[in-house]
Amino acid sequence: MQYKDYNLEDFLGDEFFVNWVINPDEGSTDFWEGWLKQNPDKLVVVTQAKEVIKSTSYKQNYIPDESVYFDVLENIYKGKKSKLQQAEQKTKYSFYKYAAAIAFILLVGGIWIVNYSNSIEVKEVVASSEFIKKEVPIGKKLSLKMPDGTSIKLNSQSTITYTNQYNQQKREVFLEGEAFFDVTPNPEKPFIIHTGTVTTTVLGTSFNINAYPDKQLIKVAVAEGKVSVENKQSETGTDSYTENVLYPNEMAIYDLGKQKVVKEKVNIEDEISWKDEIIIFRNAKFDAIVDKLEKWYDVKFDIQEGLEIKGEFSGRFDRSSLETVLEGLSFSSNICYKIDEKIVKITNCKNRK
Amino acid sequence: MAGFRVTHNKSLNEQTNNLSEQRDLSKFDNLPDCKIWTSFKKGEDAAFNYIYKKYFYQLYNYGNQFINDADVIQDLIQDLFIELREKRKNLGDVESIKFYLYKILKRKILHYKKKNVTDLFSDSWMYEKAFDITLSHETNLINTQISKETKEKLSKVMNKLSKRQKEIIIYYFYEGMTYKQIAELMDFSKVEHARVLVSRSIAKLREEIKKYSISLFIICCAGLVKWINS
Repeated sequence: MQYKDYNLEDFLGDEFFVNWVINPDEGSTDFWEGWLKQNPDKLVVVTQAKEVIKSTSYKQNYIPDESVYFDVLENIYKGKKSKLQQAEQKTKYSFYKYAAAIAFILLVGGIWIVNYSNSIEVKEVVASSEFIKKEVPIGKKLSLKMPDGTSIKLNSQSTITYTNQYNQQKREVFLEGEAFFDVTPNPEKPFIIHTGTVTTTVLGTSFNINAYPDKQLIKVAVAEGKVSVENKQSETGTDSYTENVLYPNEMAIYDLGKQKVVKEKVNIEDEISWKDEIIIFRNAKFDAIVDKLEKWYDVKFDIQEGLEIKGEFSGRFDRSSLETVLEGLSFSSNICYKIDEKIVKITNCKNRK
Repeated sequence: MAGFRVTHNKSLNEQTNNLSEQRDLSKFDNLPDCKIWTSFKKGEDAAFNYIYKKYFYQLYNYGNQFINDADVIQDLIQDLFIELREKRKNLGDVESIKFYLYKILKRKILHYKKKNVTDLFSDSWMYEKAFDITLSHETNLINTQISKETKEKLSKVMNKLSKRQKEIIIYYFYEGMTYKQIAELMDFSKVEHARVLVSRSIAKLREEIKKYSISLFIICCAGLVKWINS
């Protein structure tokens, strides 16, 4: 293709053209001015391309104080390398390392006490000397404070496992079910959560993971900071990884059955409200509500045969009893409910009449 | 005594020469980069001063697009120049000083990140910042063909690109790097990758512009009318 057939896109992609716009020299100016005289119909598109190029720049410009300019120059003349460089050359065993080691021992002691006091409510299984496992029974929730200050809130029927090496080299946990993480920032030790094939890595943020094994979905929703999610797929014996970076109010949904990832904008409050004992439904189908309530209140729903409850429900329940939630539901549909111990019977009201 | 006076005069002369040399850095303005570089390698302080003066602010701005800590960038630039001066005799030839300095600085930033953040991550952690692009309307072009609104939309579209793509676009449209240089800065194994990524980004711009339903065709027509009328 020749320049006379170029459109805006082509000009923008042409190295010679772009280079002329940014660093014009005699040769290129000569060429382009001559060429434009030959092809006056291209003047508009060339001008536009020039303008796109010339107006592109960094959004943020960082300009130091003039004193910085001279300070750095002085150090260069003196050959005085920066603190960064000096730090690299320092010997390994400094005071700070000892301090960190002592702090670590104290923290491990501290976490043991915290864990111990938690274990009254929660079954704690020390599978081996290596693994620490926390299981939350149905209908209960658990708050954990990790040695690095990270707080984890576990939702009902969820399990978290970590080793006694936690926070030594890295911060790594294994999750089944749902949990909200508020990770203490530590750029040196990334916080890694394993949920099946999906690995979530963060440096310090808060976010929610929903990965109940009975569902084929793993959902990661971010409240603050930046989260990197990686899914390992094994096809024909070779592993491949897909990585997604999530920002606040974004959620990645991994469909393990279909091996598919969807990234969407969410209202983060909906995803994490459970940790504050708030149930939020937003345009939720009835079976999704049943699923949530069963886990939340440790009940089983017994829905009348043939009863199909259509439509979507929205509502917010702040520390409410099961009755209140069911009352709200029956209000906006034709259903009646009856709670019998741990069974919730749902029937069609009209039928009963 | 006589001998002493002669040497004294000579060193004085040298000093004044150096001073006038330093004051007159403009002599480098018309020299190609390779010549300036050779002067620097030979130990000519004026050449070093010229390079520092010309590129310090650019490097500072560039580095700060990656890291949230201006002090770190300041330190990295300082070490970069000290190392260059230490090794000046053994340095190779350089076609573009700017590209050469950018490349070293980026390598230093990566090294710093790897040490201070973690090796576990790929490039996504390279950028603490968004590497955002803008299409400013304050250019000194007399004949504006693209409206301010369109530019604002184009800026939005550009910032929808991935950070890597944004980085490439900046190198290409702003820093004036060639595809070959971009490939090196981005650590691509082939120049073709840089070319493909640039054209993909441009295609995406076009696609997004269509979404905004401001067809470039209309802009072109409007521009054409304007041009015919003028």
